[in-house]
Amino acid sequence: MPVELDIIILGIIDAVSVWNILLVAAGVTLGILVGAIPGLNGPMAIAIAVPATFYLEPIGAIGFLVGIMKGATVGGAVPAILMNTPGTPDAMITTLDGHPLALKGKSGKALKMAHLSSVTGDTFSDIVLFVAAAPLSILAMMMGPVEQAAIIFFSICVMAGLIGDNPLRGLVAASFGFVLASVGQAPEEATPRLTFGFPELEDGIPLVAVGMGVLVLGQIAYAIAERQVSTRGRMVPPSIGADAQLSFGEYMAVKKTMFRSAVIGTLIGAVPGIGTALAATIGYSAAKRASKTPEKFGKGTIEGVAATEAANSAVSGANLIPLLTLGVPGNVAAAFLLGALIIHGIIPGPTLIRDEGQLVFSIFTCMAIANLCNLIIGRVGLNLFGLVAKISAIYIFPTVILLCMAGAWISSGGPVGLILLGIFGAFGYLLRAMNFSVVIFIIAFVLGRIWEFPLTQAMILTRSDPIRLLNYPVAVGFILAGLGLVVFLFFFTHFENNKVGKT
Amino acid sequence: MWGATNLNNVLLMIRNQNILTGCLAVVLGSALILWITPAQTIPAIFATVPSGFYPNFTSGMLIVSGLALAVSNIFAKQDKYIGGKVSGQISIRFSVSFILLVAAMAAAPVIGFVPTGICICVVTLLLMHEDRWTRIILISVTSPLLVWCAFEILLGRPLP
Repeated sequence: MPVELDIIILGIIDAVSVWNILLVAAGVTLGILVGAIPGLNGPMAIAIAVPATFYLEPIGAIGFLVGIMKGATVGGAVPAILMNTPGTPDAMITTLDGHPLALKGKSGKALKMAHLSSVTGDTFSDIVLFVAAAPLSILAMMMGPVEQAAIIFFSICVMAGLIGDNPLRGLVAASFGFVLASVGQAPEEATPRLTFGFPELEDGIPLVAVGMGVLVLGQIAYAIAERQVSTRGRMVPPSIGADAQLSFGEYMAVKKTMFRSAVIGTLIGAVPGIGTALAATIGYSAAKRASKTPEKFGKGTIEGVAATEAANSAVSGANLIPLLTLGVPGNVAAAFLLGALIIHGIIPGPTLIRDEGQLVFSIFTCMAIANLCNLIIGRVGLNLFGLVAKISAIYIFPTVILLCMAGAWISSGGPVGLILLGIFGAFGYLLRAMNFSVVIFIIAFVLGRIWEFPLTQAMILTRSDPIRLLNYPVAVGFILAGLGLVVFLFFFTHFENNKVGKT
Repeated sequence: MWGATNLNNVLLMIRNQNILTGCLAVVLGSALILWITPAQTIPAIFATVPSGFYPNFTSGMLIVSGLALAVSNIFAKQDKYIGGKVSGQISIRFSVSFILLVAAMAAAPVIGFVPTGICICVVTLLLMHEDRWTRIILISVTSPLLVWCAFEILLGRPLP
């Protein structure tokens, strides 16, 4: 399935319109602003923005959401450096060197390095996605529905194993997400299923209500209950003169570090479920190990900032590799992109590049535009975003709640959406309070809607006989690998806990 | 011997959130398979796979994972749970947030978006310990009006 050149060119032409560029730029700006405010993050902004994209063309809609996703990774570094408070969880490691640099009066230099290394890591990861997506799709297309169903099961097992402290808890959260995804209509005869007499639920529980409820309202309720909103540092004064600038030489001096971190971030991002925070941690550790002056790490070195930001930003592009080739979202942001694609009638999966090649290359173009916007808007507005970081989330939360309400109302067309929003908001609080993974629940809910098709086909092909599964060794391999990973990680976690308990 | 110490251990374990969660998952999954899904699914006549296959399959996953979670903790030698807190506080906070959120969402279609929005803003700001009334009034009035204008006028989407 070689991708024809005219499809690529048409895809690029489709994306490069003034309206689309404006939407991507708006998304990037919104993403940076949201990322810069401690207490808010990119996935929250994407969840709120999804209803607004209902009225947009698919390319503009996805471009807008991609812009938010990319902008938030840059914005998160601003409060991390200026206030020692990460705007997003992945910017936690940035505080280690970013804030000490700011305390030395080099906040401008640190911000510029964070911004440039973030864009560099992101661009590298996007290039890998552009190059790898089509060949991986060819591989994925060799698989039938049985293998596809097995891959989704494997992905969920990987996520359950790697997110949170207990893989079995992850599986419980994922299973519940799958159960909720089965509400709606049976695919073959469109008969209502688990709708409890509500015709509004015949299209399934709205993604917007679940996403905004669990991810946004749940987080706000948790932040209020746990009094998390007031934990903020003091803003350092702005740097002046040479300390406010980053020379080309300084940028090039850390090119190896950035490249290493970008590779780490890309590899981690390509595996579903592993977050940006881990990429930032590993990127930082690798840079420290490889550095000739490791003792400077943690005390304010520009290399530490570059390593962290390049790694966490490289995750965002790579996260789309499993989404666009297998239909499996790598993180919550990708899950919302998947949801937005489904809303626009596009089902990501192995055949996406073959069937919707033009659209895929339009999305790639939007990603490239988003990187360019990130570079320009981040550069121009860095000082402004520093001011935005001062705004307490306390004053943003009420507006965010109202935006969720309005979004739920217009997306579900009535009060049922609002009631569901409230229920899932409380459920989101409960998940957080009980230390369940919100990420895996939402990914399973989104994935559950597309898992049913290959699973049903697999049932027909195997005539519901598990023995016939042996005719599909690749599928059996994925199922066993998934189960094996969960069992291994479960015993590994227990072993580690026992060791901690004894010491 | 099933003495007082064992009873204490059992009580300790019952408090363990993993066991409770696992048991709840098993109960919910079983209820789905035995009662809820059959009652809430219209059987397909010509379909090759029954309409209830997918809910039953995912409920089965819920039962198996819940059972594994509960059993693995029941036979643990000590309470190894290192995750969330098990306390009455969580239940109270959950109940309060559930009632407040659902009540707010249910009120919006009845009394309108802007009045509900004003109430939500005031309550949210007070819960976050904002005590400057000028700010409370400013945010509580401007936020709902801005959101209402954005959806009603800019996007042309009617709100309640």
